[in-house]
Amino acid sequence: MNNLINRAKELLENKTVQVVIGYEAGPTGVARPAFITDPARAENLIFDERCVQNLAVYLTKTEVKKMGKMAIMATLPVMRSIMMLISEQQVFAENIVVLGISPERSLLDIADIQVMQRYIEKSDLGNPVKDKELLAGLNKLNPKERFEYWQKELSKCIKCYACRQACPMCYCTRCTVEVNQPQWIPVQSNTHGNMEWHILRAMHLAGRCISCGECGRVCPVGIPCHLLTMQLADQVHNYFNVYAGTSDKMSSVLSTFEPNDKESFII
Amino acid sequence: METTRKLIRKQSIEKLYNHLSATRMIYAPVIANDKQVEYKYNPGFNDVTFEHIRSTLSVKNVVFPKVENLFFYSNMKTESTITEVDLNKIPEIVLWGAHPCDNAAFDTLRSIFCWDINDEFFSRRLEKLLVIGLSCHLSDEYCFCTSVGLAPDSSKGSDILLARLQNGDYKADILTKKGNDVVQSAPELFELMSDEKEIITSVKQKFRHEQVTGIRDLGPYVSYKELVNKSVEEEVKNE
Repeated sequence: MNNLINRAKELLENKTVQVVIGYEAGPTGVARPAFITDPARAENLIFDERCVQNLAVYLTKTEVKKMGKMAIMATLPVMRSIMMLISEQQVFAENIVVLGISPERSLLDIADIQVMQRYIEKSDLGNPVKDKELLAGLNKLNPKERFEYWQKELSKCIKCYACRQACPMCYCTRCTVEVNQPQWIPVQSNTHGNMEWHILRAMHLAGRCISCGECGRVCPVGIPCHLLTMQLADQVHNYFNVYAGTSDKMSSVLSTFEPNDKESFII
Repeated sequence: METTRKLIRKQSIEKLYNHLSATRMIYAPVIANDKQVEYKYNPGFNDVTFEHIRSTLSVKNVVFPKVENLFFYSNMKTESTITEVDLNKIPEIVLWGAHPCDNAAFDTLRSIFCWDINDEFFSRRLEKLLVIGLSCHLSDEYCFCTSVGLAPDSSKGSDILLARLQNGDYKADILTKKGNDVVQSAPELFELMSDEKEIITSVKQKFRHEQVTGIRDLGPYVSYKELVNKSVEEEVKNE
């Protein structure tokens, strides 16, 4: 932890970066994202089990980009998000410094994107264990039961769009659900409208979801909507043998054709 | 109406619940599988929680549903017909065990929905709503009723306000005619008040109203319309 604070301080002092994105303890003890611009405040940085948010979501926000060059505390999901954002040209590698954090909570030396890529490649890239179990449970159900399960869960949705806001891969400045001339997506928050939203969101993330699980964690009504995108991440891996966020040169799985792509799922 | 104070015994609470649910729908808080507190229609008494602090979603749904039909229409080649929804079919509903912060919001909603044109859907629902409030005996660091002119035991918005007593019985303040009608319909459940102490949580004031609204000297309650007018006045004064 001290290594991290010292590194953050050093980066701010020698003006390599203008802001360090990390976690700090809020007034009630909950960890919240911190945007440190003053080297003296670097001591507020923390990293423990309370630090759960995927910080990569801030990299594409105008307010944060305005601050200048950034350093960001990054666990594996955050690193994969950064990789994905670089491959989609939303973030430029020369504009960020990655303060990698290992599962043992120590500072990793991530000198550049190639080092980060090697670190990601040798990590476990599947879905988190507890979500794997939930998915296995769901996949055991027959299609009718599974449809009923999702109908019941999605009927609770209030369309607050927290799942979208928390996702580092949902960075459009104007989301198609907010366009009402013409109205592409129905606005009503009944089961049907909610399903349409969640299916659309999941499909937009097919091959792009890096399995951080933020969408499900932030849902105020407790819909496990991360299972939808994680299921698709699994399927993309099965069909295309690709994990999202593993290379800065990755091309979108669903919008590129490779001669050796499987076609078994095309009816 | 003058407030009257009655005692409801521990064992009478369930009788009151069943008495009300025999003739009306009840909207009451339950703890869902995922430990979240949700309001549901017609839960069994044993599922209803008296220990919740806040529900995940507010009780607003009871007067302003997430989705509702406003009218039906059909289009023929040259003719179209519009069928209105029958507002008389809006059922009588009892909101059970909602806390003062939720109940106080009905007035705020009314000042929006009935600002100039009376929203029939909203006001009919509110008319047919009976609110059995429950003062808070629990709170946490996220509660802020005292910062917005309320209190864990404020009666605003309730027809009957319950408060738990130390021996587990409930104190009932009968605040409106609607509340009094309930007492009349089941007088045996409402006894003379004892001198048992009630349990009310204390909520620390986090901020002053003017810090969020920029309005000084705000009384315990102003309607949204007044609030807007006041803030315009303040702005003019400051300029």
